[in-house]
Amino acid sequence: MELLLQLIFFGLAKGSLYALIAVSFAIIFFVTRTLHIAHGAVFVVGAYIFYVFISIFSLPWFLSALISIPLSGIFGALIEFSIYRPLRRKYASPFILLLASLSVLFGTPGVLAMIFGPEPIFLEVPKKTFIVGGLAFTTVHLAMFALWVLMGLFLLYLRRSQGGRMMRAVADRPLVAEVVGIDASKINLMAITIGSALVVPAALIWGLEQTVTPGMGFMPVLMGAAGMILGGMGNILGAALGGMIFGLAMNLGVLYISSGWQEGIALAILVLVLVLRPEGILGTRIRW
Amino acid sequence: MVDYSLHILILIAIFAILGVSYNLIMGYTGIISLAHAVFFGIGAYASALLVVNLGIAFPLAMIVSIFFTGISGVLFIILMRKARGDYLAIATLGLQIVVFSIFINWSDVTRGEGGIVGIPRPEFWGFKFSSVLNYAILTMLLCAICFAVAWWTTHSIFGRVLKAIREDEICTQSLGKNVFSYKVTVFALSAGLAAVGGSLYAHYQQFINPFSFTVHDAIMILIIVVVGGAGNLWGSLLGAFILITLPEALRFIPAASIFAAQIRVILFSFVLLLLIFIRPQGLLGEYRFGAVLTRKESAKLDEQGIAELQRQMVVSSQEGERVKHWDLNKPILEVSNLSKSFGGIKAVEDLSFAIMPGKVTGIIGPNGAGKTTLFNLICKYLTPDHGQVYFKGQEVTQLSPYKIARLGIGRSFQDLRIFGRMTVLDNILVALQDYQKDRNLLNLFIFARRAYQQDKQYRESGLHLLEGLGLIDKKDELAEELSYPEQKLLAIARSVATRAEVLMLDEVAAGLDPGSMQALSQLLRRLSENGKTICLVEHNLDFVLGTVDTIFFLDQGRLIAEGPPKQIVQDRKLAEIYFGGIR
Repeated sequence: MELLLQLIFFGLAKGSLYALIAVSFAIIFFVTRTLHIAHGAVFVVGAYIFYVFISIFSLPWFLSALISIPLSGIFGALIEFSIYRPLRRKYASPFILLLASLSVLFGTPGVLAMIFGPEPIFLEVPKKTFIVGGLAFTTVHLAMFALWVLMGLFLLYLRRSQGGRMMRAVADRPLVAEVVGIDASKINLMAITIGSALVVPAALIWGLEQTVTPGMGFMPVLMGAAGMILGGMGNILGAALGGMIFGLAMNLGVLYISSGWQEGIALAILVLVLVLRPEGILGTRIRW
Repeated sequence: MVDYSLHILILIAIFAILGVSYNLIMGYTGIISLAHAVFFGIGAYASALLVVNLGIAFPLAMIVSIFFTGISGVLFIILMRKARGDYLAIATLGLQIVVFSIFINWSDVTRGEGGIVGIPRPEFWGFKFSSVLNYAILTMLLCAICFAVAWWTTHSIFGRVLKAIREDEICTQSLGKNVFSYKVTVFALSAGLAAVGGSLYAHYQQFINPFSFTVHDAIMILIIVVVGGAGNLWGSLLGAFILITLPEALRFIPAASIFAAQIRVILFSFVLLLLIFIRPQGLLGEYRFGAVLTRKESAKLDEQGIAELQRQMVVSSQEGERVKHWDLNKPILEVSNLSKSFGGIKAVEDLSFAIMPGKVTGIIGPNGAGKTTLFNLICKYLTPDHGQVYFKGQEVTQLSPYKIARLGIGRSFQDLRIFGRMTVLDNILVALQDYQKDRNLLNLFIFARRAYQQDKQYRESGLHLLEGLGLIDKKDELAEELSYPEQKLLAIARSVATRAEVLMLDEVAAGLDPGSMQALSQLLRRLSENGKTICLVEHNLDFVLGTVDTIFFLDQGRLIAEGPPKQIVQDRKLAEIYFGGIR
């Protein structure tokens, strides 16, 4: 019983992490309609920027985090600006954009490994362990739950602000949005910048919980994409829930199967969802 | 040094096999799977386990592994049948990792991360392929065979349908092709070919572990095909050559050797990115360049052309016989109480009518009257909420689109749905060729000669048809290069070439010049005189009035009038609805 409780707790914590990744992936996908799988590259670059500031420049951890967030946003914007946008201007097919994205996803870790070496890096941030009742957890887990505050603020931003409205307009009907005077390519750039910045907290927490490696970006972003699909097209809140479900499923799976299977099980769920219900669990209406 | 070159050669040949096999599904059928290393891995494991665990000799082990992997290919596409586009990419990426996870974790069978060691070099009839030279010869030989199989598949009537599926799945169904069964066949074949590569790899390395079959390897196979050119088998050979030799060349730079693995990945990513910007169609590309750039006189339909077309259609369809099976006084197509709503909008409401054989029927009505929805309901691209559709007295409401097309209801689409990246001639041939014969891949190989002869016949009929359309000079151009009226003619000819008895033509004359429109009107009249039943939607009233026998007038999803053109024209109320109230 205690084990189950512990696993649910970890699952919810990890699920919050996936939820943020899914939300950041979704905002980019819904607005730009590009399967930005290179989001994984942004994820890992964010973690390395943090590492550079905290370990090499010896800045305090919160300052390093504050610096790495906008810098990662800029990296994401750079991908949009130098790769996606020129390709879209050439009327490249979604497949070509996906190829470009894949090459960034796989090329970036190569470059990082050449600079920082392929070995895992430990982030030196003090962690505290708590034991409350039967539950054992660290500050890292609390940080994961805190991500919901961030997601709530982001949803509020999408609903209430001018920028959020414009992003929703472009996501809904890019052509119509252009007709009413919204520069869609500008909004694309905005969405990818915001999405890239938004994923950084998740990347840092991931790095704190485990280690930072050049290849760390691939799985979380695949899970994020899976969460988005599970939640349904055009549904940001759905993406968050989808990510949550993945986190829970992976952690509870450990009860029954050895932990080596974790990733395999999670992705098997994804494949099954796509096979049985390609429109996601919450349907496809724009609702954010 | 000789051994080293041979080693490289073997790797090139193995990856060429994988590239060719992946090209079948990605380049030709247009299915973007990011999981081809799955088949590579299953083939390798199956072959290795058969040899190591059961002691089955090499050629048999490879053959069994081909079949086993082929079946896994079939399961793969059955699993993925609903996923499309970006979802398919994500789902296959997921599946690639799932299978990798199985390779690693199912250690009772796959022996986990350590992999399988001690796989012997092949030996048969007392001859042992132990030296690198012998093995290189064996690999090259099998590579050549795989290439030949893929080449014949893609350059036959079967391959033509694959390309059509790539260009437009829905339209391919409307030509009576069972798209899913083609996909199943091509996946079985592709997975089987990948198993040849996997088996050769396992017996060459004499050791395999899961890390040879990762996402990175799947991406590498993808890059091989993209670099060479999707839809060009020679390109996959070139791609394999480039992707194997390029990182090898780096070995000779001493400083780079520490980072060999990283440099390899960076290099591949860079090559891919560079290619996307400079030559997205790949180094070789699907079609030879220049072939598409010739500009000739625009095609037009004239009197002579109509005669030729008509002759062709009568010859090719033998509809004389077919129509005899049906009483000319009974309706050939009947619709009863058909309804369909989208959300709160009733697009088609309780619609009933009957279409008589050998007549031209026009369906008119203002925008949003439900005309195209009606077509989609009859041809089963939409499922009606209520009501039935009968063809020759038989209910067809539950049939799938391709079955309806096979029964004899052909259609054209408002947005044409031309197979853009296929030649003009191939566009026609896809429709002309028999859907029974082109599907059976096995027959294509057993009776290769007959299949070749058959294709030659199709080609001749197709050329005659193009002559009638005035498109003969452009037969080898890509259909996307044609002007809009030309594409329109091609689309009409394509639906006629299916030999369907009932032709449903959506927005058939829009965009044609007056001369062609006149000729088209004549063509449709003649076709109906020869026994074809034609049902058309059109906004050009002059064209409709001059062509049809009966008019159905739709408004807001309901049939509000029917009768001969003259009668409909005189009805002032209808004119008001149609033109939105003229005083």
